Amino acid sequence: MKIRVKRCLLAALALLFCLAACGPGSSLPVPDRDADPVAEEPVSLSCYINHPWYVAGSFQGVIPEEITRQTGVTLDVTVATDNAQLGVMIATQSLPDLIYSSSMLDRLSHADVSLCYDDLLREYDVDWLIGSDLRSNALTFSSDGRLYTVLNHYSGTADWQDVPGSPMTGSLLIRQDILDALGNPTIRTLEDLKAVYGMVRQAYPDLIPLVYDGEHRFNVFLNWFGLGTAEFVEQEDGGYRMLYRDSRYYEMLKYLNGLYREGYLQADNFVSEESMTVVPYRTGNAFSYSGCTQNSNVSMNAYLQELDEGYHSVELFPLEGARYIVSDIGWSGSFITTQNSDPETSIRFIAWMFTPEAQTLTQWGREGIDYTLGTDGVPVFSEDLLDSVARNSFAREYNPWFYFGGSAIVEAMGRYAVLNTEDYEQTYDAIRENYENYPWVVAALPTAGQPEKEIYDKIMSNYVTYETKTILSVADEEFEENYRSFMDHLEKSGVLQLEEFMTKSIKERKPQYLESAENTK
Amino acid sequence: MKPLKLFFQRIKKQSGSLQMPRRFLLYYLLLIFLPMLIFFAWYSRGLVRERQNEQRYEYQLMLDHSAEFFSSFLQQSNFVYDTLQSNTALLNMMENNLYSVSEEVVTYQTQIKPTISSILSANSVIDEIFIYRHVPSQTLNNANMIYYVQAIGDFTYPGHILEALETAGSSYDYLALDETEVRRKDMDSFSPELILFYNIYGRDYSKVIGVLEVQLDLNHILRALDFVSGKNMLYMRYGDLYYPISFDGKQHFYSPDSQPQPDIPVSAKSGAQILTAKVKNTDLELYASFDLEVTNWQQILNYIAISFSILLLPTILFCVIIYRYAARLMRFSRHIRHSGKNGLTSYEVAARTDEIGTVIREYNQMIDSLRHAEQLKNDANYYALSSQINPHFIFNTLENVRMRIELEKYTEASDMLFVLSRFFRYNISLRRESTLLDELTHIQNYLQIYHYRQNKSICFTVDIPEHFVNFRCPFCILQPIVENSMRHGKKMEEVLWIAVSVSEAGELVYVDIFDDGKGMSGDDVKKLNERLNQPPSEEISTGGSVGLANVNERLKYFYGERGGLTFIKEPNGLTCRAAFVCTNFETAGKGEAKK
Repeated sequence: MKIRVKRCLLAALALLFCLAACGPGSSLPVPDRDADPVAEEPVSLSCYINHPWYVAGSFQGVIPEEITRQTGVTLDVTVATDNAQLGVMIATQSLPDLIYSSSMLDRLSHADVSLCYDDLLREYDVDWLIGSDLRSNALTFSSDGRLYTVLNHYSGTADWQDVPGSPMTGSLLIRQDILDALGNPTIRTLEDLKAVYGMVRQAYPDLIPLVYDGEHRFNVFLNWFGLGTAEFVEQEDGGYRMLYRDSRYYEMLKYLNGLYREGYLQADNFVSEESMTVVPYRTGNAFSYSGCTQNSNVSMNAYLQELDEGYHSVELFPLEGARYIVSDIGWSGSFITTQNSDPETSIRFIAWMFTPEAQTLTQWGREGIDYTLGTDGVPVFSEDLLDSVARNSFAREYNPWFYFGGSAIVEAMGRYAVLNTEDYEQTYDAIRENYENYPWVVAALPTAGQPEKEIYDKIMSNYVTYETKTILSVADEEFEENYRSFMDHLEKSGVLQLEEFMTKSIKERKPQYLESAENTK
Repeated sequence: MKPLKLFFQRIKKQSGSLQMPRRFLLYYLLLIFLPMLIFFAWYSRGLVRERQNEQRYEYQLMLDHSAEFFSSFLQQSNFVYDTLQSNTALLNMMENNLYSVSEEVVTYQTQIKPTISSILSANSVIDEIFIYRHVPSQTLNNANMIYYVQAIGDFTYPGHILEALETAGSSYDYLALDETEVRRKDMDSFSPELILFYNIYGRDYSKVIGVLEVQLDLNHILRALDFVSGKNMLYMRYGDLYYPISFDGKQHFYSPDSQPQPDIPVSAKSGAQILTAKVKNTDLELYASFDLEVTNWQQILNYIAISFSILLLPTILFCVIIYRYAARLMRFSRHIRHSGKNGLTSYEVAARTDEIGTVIREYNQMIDSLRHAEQLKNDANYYALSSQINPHFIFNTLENVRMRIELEKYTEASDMLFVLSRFFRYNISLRRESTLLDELTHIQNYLQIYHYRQNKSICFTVDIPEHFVNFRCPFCILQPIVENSMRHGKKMEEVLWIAVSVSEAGELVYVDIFDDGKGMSGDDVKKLNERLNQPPSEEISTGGSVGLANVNERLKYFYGERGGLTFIKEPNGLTCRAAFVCTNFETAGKGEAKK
């Protein structure tokens, strides 16, 4: 009986209680091609891409999936709506895990905004030996001498000697089919070009003769005027003058003003959204498009041929006197912000991005599946990939936009591989022959905290306005007045002081690069 | 009524036959447990109603809050309108007040576009802003180029919007769920839009110079709602249609696959509810169609289950306590039932002071009283029985003495009187107990008196082991047997032989009284023995063989069932065997009585 009572009590208590009751690892995974992609939950990092024109709005597609498979990282991407947005984010400390930017590098290279690469590499024992040029380039923007980023796509002049592609520089796309219709007039000089625009206007009054890309604007004309795009130009006395004060720049403005006044260039283009400038050309409403060599003419042709199979776009062969002078110390850098949720994964991810296999994966796709290497090192893409390029779905399906540690040469070779060699070989050879990179110019720019930096920023933030007003002048007098106003503005802003600073600074930095280039040989 | 009455009578009858613990349990279940459950069910019904009201209030509160939150997003479009309406540069450009193309371009670049860009940057809910100017620009008229500012001719939305703006007021909201309805840069990331249109007035507010379009990302707003749908459904009513809002467990969103419905499907469940909250300053209304978390009966059953579990423990404790008391009563009851067969005996248990202990104690005292009374009664019978013997014998013997005196046989008369006096001395001593020797001596005196009275010879032999000489036995127990032998066994003119022998078998001591008289047939012996084994009867007591019946009864009284008389047919006579128990007969009598 006692046992029974105890059992009943226990059962009752159990029932009572029952009824009463009714009331990611931080380390980056080791890349393993055979591994199950979903074996481990990917680490998601928020990433702000400070390029309003950026095509990739999400981390999806063949290449991002492969990146995730190899690194265990996926990106939550936000693309800038404009160039001012990042400044607001920094001011309000509303920072994502990663920022990928080619502008405001000095503001981003600050301990309040970003984490130091060297500290992270040391703390997490990441095996990444950053080359001296890459380090030097990035330190250009650092006010405290610490490394906050590494810029991608850096290449010296000599690097391009044996590369079949073209370095990124201003370029003009034109409609070959229209040229053909016009009798294929020769375009060797700027005047030839202007004459052709006239012919186009006459033959195709609804066609805009020239539209320009908001990013690269009139770089191709700067090249054709023999000026190049380096912001400071060496003078005969050895000093440096700002590009806008060079006489060739004046000539270029004059030329562009002439195009505008002839109606070859529309005022609308000057207010156009960066991502929308290409629309008239892509939709067959423009004859030429001022962009850069990296603007894939393949996709442009795909758009055009969707409209009419007879439409055909080509890159114009360099005009006489063209010089492709750039000052390039790299393009964009990835910053690991102070609000990063997983610094170890982030630094490992970025370090991986700079590996050769990552550079080819992010820009060419998967080796053996999407491409194989040809004898000259140029990728031979698969039919599927080429088909996607032809269908203009390559960007959407493969999404080759996350080349955070990309190489300009790898990119150029990849782009070259999908081109019709006959159409581009001579053009690109001519560009390379006249291509010179003066990285010391950008490297010598003043950094945050220096008074010349404020002068530089002020000029750079306003020059477009003055340039626009000058180009859109409706009469010679107005043009001269606007140009003088432009120059006055430069002088009032302190351009002379800036030029003096740059002359001195370049003389300090230039030997380093020359020495490095010599050592590379 | 009658069947009900019969039913209750049947229950009463059946419950009457139940054991006391079961009856207690039944009463507990019927009178306490069941009423408590019914009470809890009734009480929980009230709780359920209260809970449902709370739920409804909570949902309504959430829905109101969501509508307010929704409305707060719409305020951002008002902010956009206020900002742009107060942008003089924009108004100048739209009124074509700028004196040159470059001025217009620069104004747009420096004062209009940055404003629009900053609005778009700062307000993630705002997807696109477009301005439609009534007076087209003379220079900036490429819709693809000057993206944010369009000519009114490029207004692609239904015409009734412009009509409404002209007549009804300064703002109008429009729900665009199809990507073909809206203009935007990136169609790949299209999200359903709630578009608000505003009239833009000139600087002096004298005329409308354009229309502002603000596209709000509907899913961005919906994702921010803190309404928790769960199993419920949230709808957005716009116009005459209800748009179901999907919920992925964390956030709400409008799925393009969701088809708008003319009515909200209401669940057939009893707990289905529809709540509504209007989004201020729009034609939008939020509807929540939801089932209460639990229906009435589910909740009530839950409460009953909880109540049952709460009552279960005290019920078990109650059962245990009842059983402990009832078990004592049941054991006592069982003892009394057995006492009916074996005679009343005391109930020996550990003494307790509670009511049951008191009853048992009183019962034991009552048993003791009854036994004492019975003892007294037995004693009285004994004395009465003893006295039944005396009158026969005394009368006959005295008559013989008188006759001898008449015949002047004074010596014989004297001897007879002497023997008679010894006989009576023993007989009237009325002791409770005696010894075999005294009993045999008493028999001898009796036989001698008989010899004097009948003037006949009787051969009397005794065979008794020496250790049984002082064997204690009831008083005057053997003489009636001898008397009976003489009465029924004596043959005419022959000497009667009476032999007394004593033997033992275990605890029993047999005293055999043999006579070689007429004896009895086997059947008669059998019948006589059967009669002796029957309970005492009036016939035995008053009819013939009174002495034997008396002896038998006394033996059984003192020694229990093992004692008594048995007749044995012998080849030359009859033996009457008296069985004694070889212990103190007083103690033995009590011991046997217990059994």
